[in-house]
Amino acid sequence: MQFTLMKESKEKRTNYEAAIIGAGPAGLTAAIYLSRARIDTVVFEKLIPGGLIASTDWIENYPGFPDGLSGGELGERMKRHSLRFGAKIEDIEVTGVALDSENISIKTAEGTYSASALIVASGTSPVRLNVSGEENFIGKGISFCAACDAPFFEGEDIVVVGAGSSGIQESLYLSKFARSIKIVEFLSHPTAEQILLDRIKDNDKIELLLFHKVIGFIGEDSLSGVEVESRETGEKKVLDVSGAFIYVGLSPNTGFLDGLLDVDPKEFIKTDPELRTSREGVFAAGDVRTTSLRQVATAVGDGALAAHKVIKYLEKKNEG
Amino acid sequence: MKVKIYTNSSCPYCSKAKNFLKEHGVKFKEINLSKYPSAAKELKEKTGQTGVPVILVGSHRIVGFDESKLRKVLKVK
Repeated sequence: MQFTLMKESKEKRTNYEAAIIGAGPAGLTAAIYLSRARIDTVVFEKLIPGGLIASTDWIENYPGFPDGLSGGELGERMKRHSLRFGAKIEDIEVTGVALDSENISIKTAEGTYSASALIVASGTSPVRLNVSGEENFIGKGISFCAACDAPFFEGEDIVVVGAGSSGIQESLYLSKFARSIKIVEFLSHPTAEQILLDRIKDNDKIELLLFHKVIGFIGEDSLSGVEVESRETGEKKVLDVSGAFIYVGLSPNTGFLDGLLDVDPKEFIKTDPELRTSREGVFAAGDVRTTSLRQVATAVGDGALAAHKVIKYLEKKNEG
Repeated sequence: MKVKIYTNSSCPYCSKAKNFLKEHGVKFKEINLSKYPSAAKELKEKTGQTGVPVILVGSHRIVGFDESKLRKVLKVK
């Protein structure tokens, strides 16, 4: 009897008014707003709450935290905030989404859930360079997460690919460990925030190598060099390094949608100004949608707007 | 089988792997590189790996959070 009761209490709920895919800043903000409106909400997260910021060492441009804080800490705070108002977070990867006239089905490895409205806030993943040797040396010299793997490069010479804000921010963090860092940038100028560029000027471990492209990764059992080519002269050379961190852009996590929603040429989800997608009842928020700026602050704004639109959508649906 | 996991505090896949082990009642020893940076050198020399998590289950070494491999090695459903 006792066993039966325990079993029943462990049965998962699978029907919600609103579902959110992704527990990054956009998804968790939407969860806060929806829960406060007393909309029954579930959030699916395949990794840990925070999304991509969870592996960002330091965030100092999100208002309200003048001294900055780690991405992991911010993600954890956002998670606690959404749980406070009653959102449910399921630690499950979504594998597919299907629509019928009444409901939206969200397929996961642990069964199918249904909801009346959906916010896709599944974020992005780092882009690979797709050059020779890259695949062989991931985890053996090549990394996409400085906050995770920096201790492996204590006292070593390394390369960071990409001089955008992520590349420069993470180089500053890596300089606490590495002996020297060359930042290889494809363009003739870095594109990071000026405050970050000012900081690398004061850091004698960091050097910029502009207008160069990475053409290959070299080594035997582990990475021993990065081959680069000058885009001005065509001259090729090998940088003798044991580590390479790649920050050359982001691609949207939309594989599970399998063509369900209209996307732009880079596969980001197209939305209208009210964050509606091409399918009724499905909204998109944060980095996964077509937008000109991908920041915690913009994702939070998207999450609030998407939640507001879901509330209005459900009101209308329930009236009708 | 002894289970040892190398992690770093800021690594989301490490948290995911630890949660998996806890959920399945697997006892493990954690070596967190944030607390013991010298373990990074030891792990690199021993395995050639420069990333976490690395999970050692008996004689098996699992790099990254590979759930299907973990299930197979730990014999959990």
